[in-house]
Amino acid sequence: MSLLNANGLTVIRSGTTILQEAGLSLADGEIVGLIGPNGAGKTTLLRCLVNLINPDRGGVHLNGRPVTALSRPEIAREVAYLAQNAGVHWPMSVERIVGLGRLPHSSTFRGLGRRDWTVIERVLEETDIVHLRDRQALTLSGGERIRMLLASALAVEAPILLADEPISGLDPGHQLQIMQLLKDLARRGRSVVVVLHDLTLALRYCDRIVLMAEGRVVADDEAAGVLTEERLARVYGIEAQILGDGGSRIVVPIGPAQPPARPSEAPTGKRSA
Amino acid sequence: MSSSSSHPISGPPLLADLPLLAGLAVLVAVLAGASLMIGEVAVPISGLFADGDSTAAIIMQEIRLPRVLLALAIGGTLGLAGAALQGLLRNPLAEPGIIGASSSAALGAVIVLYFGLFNLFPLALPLAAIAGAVIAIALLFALAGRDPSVLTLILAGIALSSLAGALISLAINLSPDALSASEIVFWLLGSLKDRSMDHFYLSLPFMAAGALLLLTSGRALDALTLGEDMASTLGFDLKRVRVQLIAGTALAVGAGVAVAGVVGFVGLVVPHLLRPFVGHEPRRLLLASTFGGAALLLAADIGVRLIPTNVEMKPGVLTALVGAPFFLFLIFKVRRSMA
Repeated sequence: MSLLNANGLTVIRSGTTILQEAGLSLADGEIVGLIGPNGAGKTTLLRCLVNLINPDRGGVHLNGRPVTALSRPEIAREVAYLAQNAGVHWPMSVERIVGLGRLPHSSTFRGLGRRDWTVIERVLEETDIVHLRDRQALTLSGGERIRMLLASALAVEAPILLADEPISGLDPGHQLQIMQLLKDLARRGRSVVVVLHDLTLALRYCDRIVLMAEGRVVADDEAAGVLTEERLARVYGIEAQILGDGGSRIVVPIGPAQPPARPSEAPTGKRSA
Repeated sequence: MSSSSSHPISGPPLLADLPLLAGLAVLVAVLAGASLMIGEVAVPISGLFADGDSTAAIIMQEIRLPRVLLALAIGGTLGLAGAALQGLLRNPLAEPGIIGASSSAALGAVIVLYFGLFNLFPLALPLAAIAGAVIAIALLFALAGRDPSVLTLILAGIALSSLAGALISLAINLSPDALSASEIVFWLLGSLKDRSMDHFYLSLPFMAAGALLLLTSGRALDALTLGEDMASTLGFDLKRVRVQLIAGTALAVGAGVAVAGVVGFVGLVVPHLLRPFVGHEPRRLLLASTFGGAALLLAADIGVRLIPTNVEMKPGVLTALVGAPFFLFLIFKVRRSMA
């Protein structure tokens, strides 16, 4: 049975349809890449999954129950969420920010206990920020900050992790490290949805890819099946080549698709697949 | 490799700040003692426990004790409300006055003064002020809608504040004579002088209820460090958190204004001074700011009695005189760090 199941999600805001009949299901132990051009509705879909947005139509079920019927703490213990462009508002230390991920397991009169610190230590190591633990969070570089925020999402230890562009702005080494970490989490039985713009990494690390365009899910299949040169041309408006085979395939964008679309409206034009 | 390093901060959150809180508590105790001892006549502190009608007992128990207790309670709740609101709004320049509670409470009191209703029964004035704060909060949520964002709350609060301010000005404007106008103005300046234990007992339940609402919101304030989306997904119902914090502030601050008039800047300055000592963590700041606010208002109330002026200064004037330059300093600091 799938842990998380969204069906027919339609979100209309100020007359604009942001999501149209979008759906996604997530099973135990899989890592799903959510890809698509800017403005395709990826973030809106993720926000629906954690009940941050109430869709106009359609619904989300978590472990068989509608998310709207679950309390915030109940959702928090099941689903960890890393928002895109999440920021930090006070100059707290890195380890205390990471410790915020333990809030779903705390109570008003209890601070961080021994078990919490064990988890914090582990996620600091996993995201390679042990050396930054005493640094003031506002002084981190963009990449360091993303790793810190990912660490706090990991510290929740929820069965499901939804990460909105967790590797944008990271150097290649840390991109690979974080993707490997997410994949390892999935291998250990957790379920991960990760929004990505790097198609090669999506192809290499994700069990499944969900491709979105203009608010719809246009493809949802095992990774290699989704990313075809023909589909990239249609959805992203680019001419791309997929080279290599097996685990070492790469996606190389060559240029705008024919006929050339103007950069400002690259993905628009045709209705979905 | 896990958990090999030792961490001082584990267990109950209170424990980590024990040295700081103990230090602040000692400061509060010393200031409270000093405040009891300072006055026009020298009275031994034993008067506090003496019974009967001795002068010492009357001065201590009926004049100075309510003054000290009110400074403690009002300063404490102002510091606490400031820390909580700065955490909610994630803005170091936020202040309890920003949501309109203090000016609305003042308006309630001014209405009583203007119409001379205080002759009806002695506690009419503080009760009207508390009612003013409660009505303001109800209006605030009505204005801000069902799912208020922080921005609409602030805007609605500013609108309410301005309206209350305008109505207060109107009352002063329309006062039949200079005496009743100056009565209103003097009350607005805020004072802890000539308050009785009845004032303290009347305001205490509201302040205690407000403080409880604010003190128990610490985890949500910590979560809000990462923004509203992340706080929600960490398990906090932000709609409820906002109601809890705004209502707590209104109760605490409204009750304070009701008995002592408007005391500004305590809620702004205290959280600032203490934030570095608690690692900038919103939850740990709450209790520390409560102690700090109590200490600051006690000190201001001692200051107005020590500074030689013809007419005794009002503590609200002193806190504003010290607070406003501090506020400017903060703006410069923020500007520098943003440059």
